[in-house]
Amino acid sequence: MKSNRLASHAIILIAMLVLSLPGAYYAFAASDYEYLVSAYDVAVDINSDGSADIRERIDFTFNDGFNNVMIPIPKNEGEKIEVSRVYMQRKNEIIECKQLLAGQWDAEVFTGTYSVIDEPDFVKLKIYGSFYRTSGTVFIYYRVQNAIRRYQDVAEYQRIHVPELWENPVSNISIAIRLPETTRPDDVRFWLHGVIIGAKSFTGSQTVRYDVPGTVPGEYVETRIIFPQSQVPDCPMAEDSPAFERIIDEEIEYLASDKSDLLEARETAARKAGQRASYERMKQRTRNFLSILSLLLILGGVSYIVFTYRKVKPGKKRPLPSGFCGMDRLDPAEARMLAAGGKTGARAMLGKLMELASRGVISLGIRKGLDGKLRFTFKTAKGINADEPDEAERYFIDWISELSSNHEFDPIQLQGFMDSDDKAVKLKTMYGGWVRKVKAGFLARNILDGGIARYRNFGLAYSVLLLFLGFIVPVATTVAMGYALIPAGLLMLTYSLNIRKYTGYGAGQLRMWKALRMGLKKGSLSVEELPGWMQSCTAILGYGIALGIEKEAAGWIVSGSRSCPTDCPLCALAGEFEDFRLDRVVKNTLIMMDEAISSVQDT
Amino acid sequence: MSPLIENIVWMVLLAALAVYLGTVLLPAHKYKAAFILAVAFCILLRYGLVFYIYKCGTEASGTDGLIYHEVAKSVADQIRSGVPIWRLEYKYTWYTVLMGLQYAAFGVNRYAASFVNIFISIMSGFVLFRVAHGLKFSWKKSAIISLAYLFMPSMTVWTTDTRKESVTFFIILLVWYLALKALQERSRNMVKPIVYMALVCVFLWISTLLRIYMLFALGGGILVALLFHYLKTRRRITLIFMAMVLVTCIVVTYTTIIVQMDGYHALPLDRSKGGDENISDELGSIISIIMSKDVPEAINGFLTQPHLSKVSRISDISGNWFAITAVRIEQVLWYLCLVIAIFGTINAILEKNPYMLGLLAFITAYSLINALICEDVGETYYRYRAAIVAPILLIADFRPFLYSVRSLIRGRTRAIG
Repeated sequence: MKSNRLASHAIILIAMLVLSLPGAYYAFAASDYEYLVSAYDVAVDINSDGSADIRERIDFTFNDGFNNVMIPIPKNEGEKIEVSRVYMQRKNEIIECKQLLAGQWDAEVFTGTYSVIDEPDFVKLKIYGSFYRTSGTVFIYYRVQNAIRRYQDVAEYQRIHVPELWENPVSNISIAIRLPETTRPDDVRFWLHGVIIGAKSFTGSQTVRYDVPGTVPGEYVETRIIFPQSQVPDCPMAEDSPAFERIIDEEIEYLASDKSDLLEARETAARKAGQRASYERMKQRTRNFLSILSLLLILGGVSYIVFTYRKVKPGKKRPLPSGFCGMDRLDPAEARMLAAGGKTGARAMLGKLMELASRGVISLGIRKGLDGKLRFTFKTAKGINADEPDEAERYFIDWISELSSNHEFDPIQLQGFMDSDDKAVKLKTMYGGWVRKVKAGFLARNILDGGIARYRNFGLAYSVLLLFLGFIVPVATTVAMGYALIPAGLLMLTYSLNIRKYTGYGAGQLRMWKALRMGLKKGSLSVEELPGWMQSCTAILGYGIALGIEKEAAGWIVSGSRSCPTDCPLCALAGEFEDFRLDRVVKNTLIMMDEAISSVQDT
Repeated sequence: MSPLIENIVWMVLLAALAVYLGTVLLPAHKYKAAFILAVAFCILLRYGLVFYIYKCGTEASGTDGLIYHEVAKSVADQIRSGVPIWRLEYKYTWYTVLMGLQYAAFGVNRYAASFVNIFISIMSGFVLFRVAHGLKFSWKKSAIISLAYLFMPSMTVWTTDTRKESVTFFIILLVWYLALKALQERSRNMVKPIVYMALVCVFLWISTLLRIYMLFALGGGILVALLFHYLKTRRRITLIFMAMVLVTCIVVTYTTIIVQMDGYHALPLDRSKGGDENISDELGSIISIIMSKDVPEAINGFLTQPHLSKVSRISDISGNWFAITAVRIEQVLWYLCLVIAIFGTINAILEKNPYMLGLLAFITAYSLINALICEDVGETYYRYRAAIVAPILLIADFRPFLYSVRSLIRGRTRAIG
């Protein structure tokens, strides 16, 4: 009990340990950005009434699948933002998104919709779509009312285009702000705030351009332009006073201000990028390592099978001894187990009954069913008179006696166990008890010597390891090669479980019983060639049933190519078969027993 | 009746009915009363959650739940105006018809619809208990599985809103329960097993109305279980059951799946152009989606998302420390459950347990279908994965595996069936 508990605890610990691997793999990984903005193009047209029409094209690179993106549009005091149109790229075409009303939600939202959330400092534009692919593009058209502040001497455009709120890196920022009219360069002043690196220029006498290679979280892009106030004649005055000097002073102050926060943001971003790159490298190396490990484990499994096969296949090429010399007198149930890879079933049971009848332990009878079909019955009145019955045989005879009514066992009695759980469990328990004893008897003969037992145990442990890793590795670390561990594990498991077949004893007996089976099947054997204990028709039929060749065995018996002992119970019954063929009677009996024995196997 | 009193009546009646059914349906045990008390506590927790999620009003809360509520109102209007049930126009899934029937009979009340969902979820817990007990698990183990299912935070949330999850999970569990009953039925009277089998077929069809690909996952899983059961027991009734399920799968494919696929996109992923022209285009879309996927990555996503580092990004709980922590704890326990389930899986293979192999086939088919066609968004995977939680809980036990391996190594013969 104590060792059981210990083993259970060990398994739990291993499970926890293995669990922690994928958990840690993801939990402590450098946190990744949900997406990156790979390009950000902004075109601003300033109107004479002080409003600005803005078009933005934002290219995203997604790290995961995504069904919405939120774009914050900064809002200065007194401004009003009207989003007019939103487009998104879908399957290589541009589609216009529909605006969702407040509270509106339906299954179609992910076909390309957007909602606008108006907050005091921002307008948050949420675009819904299915961004499955690694990249996506959205286009936003909006108008900013009161974007210009008009003073006595100048007009001012000051606007944050990439806010600090956006916690994702934004690359390739290009902003073009077009003034209402052309003007001399000397009349226009412009500045860039929030980033350390960035270029600005005045082109075509009308457009101020900003080109920023990129921002990291903590940085922002703010543009500020002053130009002649005469260009916005329809814009109401913000203050009826000059502002040029004040703005210049503010800019000088900004220039001289401490920008350590921007440097820190850069350093933090660089550090994170380094961590991320290191994590990606580690992930790739882990995958490569696990792919190679999976391959090696599979090769290890194959080598084990080849090595063990060579080790445990003695005498495979040796010719079979004549007259089945060296063939062990196996019980029909054992012969069934040997020939059918460990299976028993009704064949083993009927075979054993026939074999007992051949030895005179029980007697054989025939009964006609209500359907007019004949079946065998077995009389147990004589009691146990078998020569030194082994444990399995004693158990079987006791069981059959218990099942019998008036000392007669009729296979139809087994069917009475099929109609309730309790009875089914009883039948399965009795049958299982017999099979266990037969197996134990056979295993006592077919002993796995220390060496083969070690191979078997190693094979079992190794196959379980392969199966375990086959489920863990590909799922937790997405290594496709890991899936190959599952069939490899199953193959090894099957081989290890059947290794007894390949012991010196097991392989030798299997060859001889296979040869016997083949001989009976082809009818190429004479009775004299058979071992002495198998020479009566009843015994031949019993072993034929166990080996799955009852039809051929019956045919061989009926053909008369044997000289049966006078006390053969089957021959004594010959007159009672009427017009029925022997193989039919066997089949009827077998079906009846098989139906009962099989149907209780799921209890 | 004021809305509050109406809600209280619903809550009391449904809770009382659930507790009563618990006393009737669950097998006797000294801890039965404690188990039912725990279930009652679970009901109260869920009632509390209903009031929390509708705190901003029932007409503006939620996503899919809100859609179904809207459609159900229109279904209720149709029923009240005399449209027969087979001519009802409904969208999305058949769940909206169920809700509409409730609204037509008792008045539009989203709270009440949520309370009914809670009741159905509790019934799922009872059915799961019966399945576990039917599989010869001990009473305690069955109770632990059932309570783990009922108290799982994500399960609580998704089965409380007016979403179809509650009914879907109930039907999945009911199908497996009925299949188990049919397989275990031994009386010579064929009426009972045939009724069970017919019900399995009917629920397979209903499950398809709720989630279009469920037929293949559920039907496939049942067929695998039946195949292994037949190989083990050679019972003719199993062959009849297989034939019935197979015929149902074929008929439902032609009468329901193809019709639904042709009409509108019921699949969760492909919302690309608002519907393909015909079935071949539709299949083409699905295949192109599958081809565009990194399969190991998609399977990882379906079984393990949302990863711990990404839990805080789930939009519904973003910024809510308590909810984020709860989801993280649930995720860690889920990973543990998956690891333990591996032992259960290997044991099912070793023992060739037909029922467990069927459940595994269902889990595999459902996971693969979702991994391949579902959008690779963590929170979507999380929600769709909930359908396999109950089967995984049934498999997650390492002790039978230890017993089998120990028996094998010691040479006991009972280890392998």
